[in-house]
Amino acid sequence: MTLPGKNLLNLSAWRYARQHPWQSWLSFLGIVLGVMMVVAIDLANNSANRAFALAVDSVNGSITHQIVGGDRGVPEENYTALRTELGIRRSAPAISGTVIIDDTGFTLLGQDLLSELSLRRQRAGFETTGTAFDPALLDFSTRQNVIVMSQSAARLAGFSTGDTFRAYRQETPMTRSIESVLELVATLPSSDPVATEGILYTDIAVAQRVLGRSGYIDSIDLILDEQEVAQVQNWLPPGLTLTDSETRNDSLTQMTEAFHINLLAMSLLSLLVAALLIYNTVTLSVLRREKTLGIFRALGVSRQEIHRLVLGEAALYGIFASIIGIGLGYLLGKSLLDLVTAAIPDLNYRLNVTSFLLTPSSLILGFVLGTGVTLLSAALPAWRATRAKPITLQQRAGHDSHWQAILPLLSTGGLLLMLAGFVLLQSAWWGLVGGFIALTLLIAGFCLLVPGIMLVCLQLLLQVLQRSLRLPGRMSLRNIRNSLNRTGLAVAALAVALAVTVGVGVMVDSFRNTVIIWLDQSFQGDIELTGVGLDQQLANELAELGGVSLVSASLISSVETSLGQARLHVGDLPAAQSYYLKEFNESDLARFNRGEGIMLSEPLAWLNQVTLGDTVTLTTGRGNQDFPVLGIFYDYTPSQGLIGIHETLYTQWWGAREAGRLTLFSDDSNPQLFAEVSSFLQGNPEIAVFPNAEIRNVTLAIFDRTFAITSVLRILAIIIAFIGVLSALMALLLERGREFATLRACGMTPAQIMRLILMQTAVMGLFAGLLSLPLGLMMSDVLIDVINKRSFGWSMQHFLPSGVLLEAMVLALVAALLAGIYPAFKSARVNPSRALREE
Amino acid sequence: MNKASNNNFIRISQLSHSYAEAGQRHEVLHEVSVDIAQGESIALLGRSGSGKSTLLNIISGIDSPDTGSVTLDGKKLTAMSEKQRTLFRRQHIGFIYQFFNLVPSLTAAENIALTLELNEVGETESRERVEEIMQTLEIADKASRYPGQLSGGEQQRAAIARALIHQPLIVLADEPTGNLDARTGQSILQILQTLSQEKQSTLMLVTHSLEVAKSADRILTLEDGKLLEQESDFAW
Repeated sequence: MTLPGKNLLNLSAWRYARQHPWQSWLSFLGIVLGVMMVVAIDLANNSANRAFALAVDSVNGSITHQIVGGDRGVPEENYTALRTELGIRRSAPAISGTVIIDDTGFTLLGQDLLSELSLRRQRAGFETTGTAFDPALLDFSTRQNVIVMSQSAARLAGFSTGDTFRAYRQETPMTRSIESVLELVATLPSSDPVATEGILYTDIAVAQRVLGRSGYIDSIDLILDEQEVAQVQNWLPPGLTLTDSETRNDSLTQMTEAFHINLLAMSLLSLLVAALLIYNTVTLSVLRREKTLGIFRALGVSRQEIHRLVLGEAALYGIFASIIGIGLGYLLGKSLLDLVTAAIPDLNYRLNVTSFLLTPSSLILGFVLGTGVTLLSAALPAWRATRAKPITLQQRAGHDSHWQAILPLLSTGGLLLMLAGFVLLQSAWWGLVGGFIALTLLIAGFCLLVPGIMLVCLQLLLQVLQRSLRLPGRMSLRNIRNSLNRTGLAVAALAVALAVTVGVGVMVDSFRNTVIIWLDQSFQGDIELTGVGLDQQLANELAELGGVSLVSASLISSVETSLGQARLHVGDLPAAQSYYLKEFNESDLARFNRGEGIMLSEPLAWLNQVTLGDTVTLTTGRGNQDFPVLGIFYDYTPSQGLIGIHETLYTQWWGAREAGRLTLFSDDSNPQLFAEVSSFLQGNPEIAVFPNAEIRNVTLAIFDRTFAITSVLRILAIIIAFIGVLSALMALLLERGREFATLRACGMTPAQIMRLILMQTAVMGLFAGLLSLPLGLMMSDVLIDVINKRSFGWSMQHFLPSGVLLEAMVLALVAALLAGIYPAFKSARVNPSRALREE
Repeated sequence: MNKASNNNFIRISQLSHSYAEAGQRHEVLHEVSVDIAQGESIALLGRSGSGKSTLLNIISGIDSPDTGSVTLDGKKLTAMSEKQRTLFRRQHIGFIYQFFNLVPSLTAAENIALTLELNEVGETESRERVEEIMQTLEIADKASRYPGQLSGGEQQRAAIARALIHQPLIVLADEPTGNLDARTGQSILQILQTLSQEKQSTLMLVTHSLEVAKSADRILTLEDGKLLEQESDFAW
């Protein structure tokens, strides 16, 4: 005879798990998937974040300050003046922009070799400041259009020394124009491939030419001590500002952070669904072993020992599942990296992320959350297990009725949690984090309400349908009602997962529709022209073409303001035609058109708490000037914020400037207008022409790319919920083995048993689908009105896409029916005599 | 039979217990008092629902009475905390049930060894004692079988072995033959009584069978919540 030695209690638990492999594996899988989601998103976020930080550091390097200019940048003669008049040697000019080579974006970084020598800035990716002085770079000064890359970046891009490329400059994410030919003349060793990825180093003059910025630079980069700061401040010519380089990146960082918090919160929702699944499984394993636990108690096993046993089991599951979840999360994170990077706002320079960063903090987060959530979920069932009376042969019905007795308490708790959530939503406390806490409270409260709602509905249904419903139908409804502690949980888990899809679906759809309205309002006209030489004469000539009713000129530039750096939109159209207005007074629109004030984009106004009538200081060509805010318009471009001014005001304070864009309005009389405009401009390679509809398509493509990650998260949440339903239903039906065996013994056919079970699962699916709708709509409201507002300052219209709601219902029914198939099949084929004997 | 010198080894004094049902309280035990000597065997008779199992549960410390006290070997059980009662039960009480109540996920040998493990008996000693008692009970060849693979009689033998292996002061048996055929039941009962005597354990046996009751030293009957002593020539 062999005895396994110590820990017969543990051995018993282990054997129980082995005897119920489905249940054990499903629970395990739930934790694995939940952890996988969190780790994947966090790893992808961290990789993208690091790439973002390194990109900033690699372009700017270890500078302390920057002199930035007006709408066109800093006139390059200011740099010469700074060095000669003030003698500030630790300074260098900088310019960067995006160029497209073979449909891939690269950052073209222009630098002046001699100035860099004196600035001696440390750039991320290079160990010494001397890197910038590789002899190969001397080619910058002597040859046209040459570039240098880091060896790793060149390898990643598939470039070799001596290669030449056709590069297009990208002015906005929507447009590209003007071709240049660049030659890679050398590659440099880099200490950090991530930092230098996608960066093309070139001479400042080359960058100016390729980027179409001749005579201007982005900034004068400086390393200054306190005394020099004061000196430079006094020297600054009108139109230029000295900024601290750290604060300059703050708003971008803030926005990127908000994206990442949103993504992480969505992955945490999946973990919540997984927690419901774990709770369900552990509760069930405790219930099924209640008799065994009762025997243990009768034999003298203490409550603490039972508690340790159940929690120990859960911990073991949590630990192993978390480890596997972390491994899978790593793999998933790698494949999600592109999608996460796509959700980062477009920067002044191109962000390339192909290097996946394995951050220990993400792994620890996954492990702690996985194990912690498992232990927390198991805490209640474990406590319940300690209450197992050391008297055997307890009736299950007694427990179920006990559970129904606490339903009012659960429902009250649920209502209170939801109330707390609503109260928290009303206050702006804790900002974004407060919003997510409120959302969690609402979801948790709703989950607690689910069994109560189901009980009331089932009682009503049973009463109303008492006469019309046949026995199997009545049995199905009663089975659900009598096992509400399990069915309620399964329905809650599925409802939450579906609500995530409804909430996010409605939010994304509302956002998309709002963006379409915004595009229609903000990008009126039919044909767009961008490039160099868009002067008044050209505008007049284009206006003469048949079918053109109006030619409007505009430009996008950047401006230093009392709110930080912002983009400046200058247009010659009235405000109502240029912007999708949110807040304004009719009388102020005329003032705007006369050049008496400015308009602010909604995010800029919201983030800086600026309202109508406030004044904002802009650095103009004639120095700093205060302007009243006459209106606030919707803007969904993911960047620092936009200020709109009329051409009249621009001319007054900055002087006349050639337009960056001409918009042609058609009177619809000439179907060949686009072809005629294209042929009219054929001899002018510096001007790009494209139909306005393309802007709309490209913008929506960018939008879809940004939100692609949410689709993946939605699908994963559904998979976890599906597993939850499968596990709950299987457990429920396996428990009812004796009942089904009795029915079989009484003459019910396997097909009838299957129908009975599938009817039950369908009703549960229906409940989950219906309950997911109010919760999902509530979530979408919170996402639209609170989360997005607090994250990005965007407000949007509410749209109720019937497709998303229908999708949730179909998903619920399909998931529930699919989950019911195996248990139904298994229960129908059970051998009645054996099942009755085993019971 | 080795009669005990300690005549009030188990002292039950003024014990009352009631339970609630449909909002009303029902008293199952009313001021029950009795002294039981060490090594004595007691048969407890009574109708269904008369409180026999409740009395056993209170003596084992599983349940607590509303009033009154239970003293076992000089230790007042009713004054102990739940944890103390659990530890006391682990060391000094063996319980046998009508439906065996073996742990389904442990083999017969493991079920028997469980009590020893809880009492921290060493592995070698544990193995020897399990082997010995299984041989005595003639189920040594079933050691590695799970409860589901054993007959009713074999399961009850394993349950008896589990209840006696740690040489408890008291063995409480709640209708141990109620789920067995007459022949197997008789055999099980004989084993139980013999082993209890050998281990010097006090045996308290709940039964409906007069035949079974007659084999005990004393017969007690629970009726209307009161405990009555019957003469050994008592007849139904």
